[in-house]
Amino acid sequence: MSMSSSVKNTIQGRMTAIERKDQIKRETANRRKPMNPMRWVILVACVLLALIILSPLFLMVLNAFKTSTDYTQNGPLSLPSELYFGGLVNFWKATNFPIKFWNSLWISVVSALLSVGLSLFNAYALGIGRVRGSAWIVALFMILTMLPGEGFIYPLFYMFNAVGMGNSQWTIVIICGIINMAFGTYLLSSVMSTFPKELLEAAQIDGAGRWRTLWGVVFPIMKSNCAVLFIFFFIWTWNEFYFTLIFLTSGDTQTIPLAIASLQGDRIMDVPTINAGSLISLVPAFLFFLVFQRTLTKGITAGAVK
Amino acid sequence: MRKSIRTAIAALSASALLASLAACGGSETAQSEEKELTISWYYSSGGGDTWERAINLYKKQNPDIKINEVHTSFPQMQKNAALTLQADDAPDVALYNQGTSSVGNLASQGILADLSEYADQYGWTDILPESIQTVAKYKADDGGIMSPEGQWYGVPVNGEFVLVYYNQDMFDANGIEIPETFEDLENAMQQFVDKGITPVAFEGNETASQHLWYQLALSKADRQWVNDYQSYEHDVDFSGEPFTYAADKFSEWVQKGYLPDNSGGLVAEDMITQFCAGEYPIMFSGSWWFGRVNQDGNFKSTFRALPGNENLNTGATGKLWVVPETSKHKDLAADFLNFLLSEDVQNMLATEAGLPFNASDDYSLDALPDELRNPLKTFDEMQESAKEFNDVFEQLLDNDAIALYPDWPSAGMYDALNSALQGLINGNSTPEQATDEIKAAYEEGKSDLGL
Amino acid sequence: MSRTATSAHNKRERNANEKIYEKRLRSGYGRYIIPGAIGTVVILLIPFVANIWISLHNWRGGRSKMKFIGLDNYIKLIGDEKFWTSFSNSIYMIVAMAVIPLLIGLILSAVLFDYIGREFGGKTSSFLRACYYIPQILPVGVAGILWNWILNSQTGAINRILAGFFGVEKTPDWLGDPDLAIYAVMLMLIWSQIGYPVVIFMSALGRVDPELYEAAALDGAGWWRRFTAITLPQIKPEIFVVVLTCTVAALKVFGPVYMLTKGGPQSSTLVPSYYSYINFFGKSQIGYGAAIASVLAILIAIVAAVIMVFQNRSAAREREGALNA
Repeated sequence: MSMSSSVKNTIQGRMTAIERKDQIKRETANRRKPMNPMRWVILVACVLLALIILSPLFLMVLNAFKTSTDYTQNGPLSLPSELYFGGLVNFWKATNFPIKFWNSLWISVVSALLSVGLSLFNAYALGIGRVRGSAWIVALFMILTMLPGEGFIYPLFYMFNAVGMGNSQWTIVIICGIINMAFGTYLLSSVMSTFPKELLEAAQIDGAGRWRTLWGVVFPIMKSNCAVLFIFFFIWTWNEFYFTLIFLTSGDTQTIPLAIASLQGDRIMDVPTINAGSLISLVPAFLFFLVFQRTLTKGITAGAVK
Repeated sequence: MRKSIRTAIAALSASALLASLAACGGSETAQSEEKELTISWYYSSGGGDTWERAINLYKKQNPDIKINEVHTSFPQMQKNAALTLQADDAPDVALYNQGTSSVGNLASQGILADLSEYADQYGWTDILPESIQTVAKYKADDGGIMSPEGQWYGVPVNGEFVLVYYNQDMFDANGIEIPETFEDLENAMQQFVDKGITPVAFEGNETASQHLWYQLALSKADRQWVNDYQSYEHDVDFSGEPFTYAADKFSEWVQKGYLPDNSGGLVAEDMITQFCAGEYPIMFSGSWWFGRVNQDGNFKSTFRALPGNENLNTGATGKLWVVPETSKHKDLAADFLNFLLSEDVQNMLATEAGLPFNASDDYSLDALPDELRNPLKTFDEMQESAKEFNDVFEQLLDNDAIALYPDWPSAGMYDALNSALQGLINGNSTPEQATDEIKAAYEEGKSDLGL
Repeated sequence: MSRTATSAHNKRERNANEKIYEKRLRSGYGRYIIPGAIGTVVILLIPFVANIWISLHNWRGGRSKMKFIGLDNYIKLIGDEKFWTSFSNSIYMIVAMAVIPLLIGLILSAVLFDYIGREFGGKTSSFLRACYYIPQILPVGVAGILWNWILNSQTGAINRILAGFFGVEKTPDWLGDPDLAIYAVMLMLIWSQIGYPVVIFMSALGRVDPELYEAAALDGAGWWRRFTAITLPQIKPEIFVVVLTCTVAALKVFGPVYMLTKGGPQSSTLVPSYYSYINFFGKSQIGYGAAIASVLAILIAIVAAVIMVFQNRSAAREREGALNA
């Protein structure tokens, strides 16, 4: 009646085995502690690389708290002569930030959930079900999403306007949802094609239907992959510029990247305001990534059961 | 059964698509009696939030009209006007670009409303100078070419032109006089080079290089040449003096070190930042930088019209306001456009060096209605300078010298001009090669327009 | 139920009636693909077909008339020098967005996972991973502004460093020199792209059995040997995912080119999607732009198909190998 107990046991068995291994590994690592200078060299190299990669962002922080005059006089590479929060305030007021933030947030979350859900369904059918012609279906999905945005913007625009969704945020949820779905389908189905048969068989013997197998057996194991996808999709939709530019035409529907762009008038650019705006618009996506990235390494994915 | 579902879905979606494509045939939109007006605008050159203030005053003067504002951005209008202005929920009046490749293009697509009747009715034909009216008129059936014989598809409310800004402090420090003739200008640049100073703040990626090139060409051209180049009245001879002189002079200035040879990849923002930082004594660029130079430059600055361009000078109107064909409130939209040309709004533009067409002679900051005052008081200290600035433009208008922009003939010209002139800046091409490249793009654009 | 019991059961059933068993195991999945399929058809397939239809016309867009001209747009493409430049530039984009990030990403993720993670703990390695990933979070519009500051020929950070620390007298004009600009664009692309393979590969490594590494370490296999013998084969599916998605992203790249060079100087950084964009929105040659987009789509389809065939073959080989073992 409930989730197949044998499956549960199998998964639980694997999990404890893995945890035990991790523990042993940690203990041995603690015991070893060799005074190897190489390890510091490698660490320093990695940290250095991280600093180089982050350096453009330091520039952004540097210029977010300068006055416009300071920026003009001393250029983008100097330290601010005083800490100036006017840029931040300007951006907040000029763009009505809370509304833009809420728009970005719900569009990204709903769209990412939609994509992950659809990807899971597709991958379940293609990777595990090996539906006939599955390779072709994946290929078709992938190829269609790879079309340059210019290629379908005209037809899409007419279609959505014909059904009265001209300035609706749902257009973005749907379009991004479907486009991201193809990527998710591809990734999940290639991982699921290595899904351990014995688990599925066990579920079947326990009389679990396809629906219950998906949520009881497959999903728990694919959780980490789904989390990765969710993060990617959230961030991609958060930063989506092209479709939002065309479909979201009024202030109350627009997202944060559009708000930043609206500050860039023709031949007008208030650099500190744009930097401050970019900075606070970056914070939510970054926090989101930090919170969820912890799930990335908890790797109880398909292969671990091999 | 599965097959039938598939067929049904395909048929359904195909018919939806056909229906939506068929829906875009041109037809007159029925007008509504409701007092409602949707205005779409963005921060543009010539005083960022002036439009916001104007709209506030209009609201106050017309309490019976329900006004909706759509705050958009320049990139958004530039890329998507063709789509957003034809939608059913398009605004009634919108701030948009100017020129054949933008307003003309939309006019030829049937997206914009013909405003000629309103122009007569409200007397815009009297308010606006002749050369400026050209910018508002396009031949919708002829690929949307800008032409004095075209119909009104947009309304300009202020001007723009290209001039020279000087860093007076740098000139004084080096004992060099502000040049008043073209010869003086070349001498001054040479003197700076001799002292090891690159004289011109420049960029090759946006508009500075093509505007300078056009200025040079115009100095050897006449009005008929402009009409031929801009409105395709006659064939243009690319081996004629204006073109050869412009390319040769441009290249000479690079070789002599007047124009920095590493500026080909820079953008306008780089140029203005460096000029305001006091790194260069001279900048050839547009009237839209007046506020920025005065605010951000920590030095005494001055400006002149470019010597040699008294009779033909690069410049036009600022952005045009347009009315989409789908608007249900065209009469109200026209009333709002007329309001933008009224003395109040025009005087406000005058106080911000915004080059108005219809300001009163005795305009002043104090006489402005409260709604129109700049809350930041940005221009309060610059009133004299702003007046001089407006006068320089007025003089060019009186000479009927406004000769539009070099990229206006067709949409591909902007990129082609920059590409050709980048070749001159980095020394990769000869003046002849650059001119040939420009010619090729010009002829291609012409044939795309079906001429 | 233990594993041996399951597999014993499995064998019995298989021997009994393999075909029926397989069929039962594989049936009932079809309906799960329906929602995704409908979405794909409506949002992607129909517009795609409509796009091809548009490419057979001379159309200025909007409410103007469409004139059917058959394959004329495609014939024009063949003689269009810029079209060929844009596609050959795609090769540079693939190097910058797929090849280099893949190689760096493989090494980095292995070092982070197998070395840093082990020696300094998981927190250090996931912190570093987050740092490498940040450029991916940045909207391209903002990244473009930042890189303009870095690459600026006169005041840019790189040239200041070159002039200040290395005494280079004639600093390069990164974005203005047609021979250099493409490398400048590539630099930004590599920067923004590295984090993506690192994150994917590290999550892939998470499911590799740590015992494999431990056994190899006990056998005295060095880091490099473990990398080639365990890491690479184990994360093969993800490597294919990264190769495919990055290659496609490289073929489609638009934002960085738009922000940094607008295809210039002298068309040296023109890429297909930007060229099609110019025709769509700059020149209002909708039909011609649609033709470029269609060719790009077909090229992408071919590239994607080739990569996926390789992937399937490699997966099939692996299954065979597993059966033989």
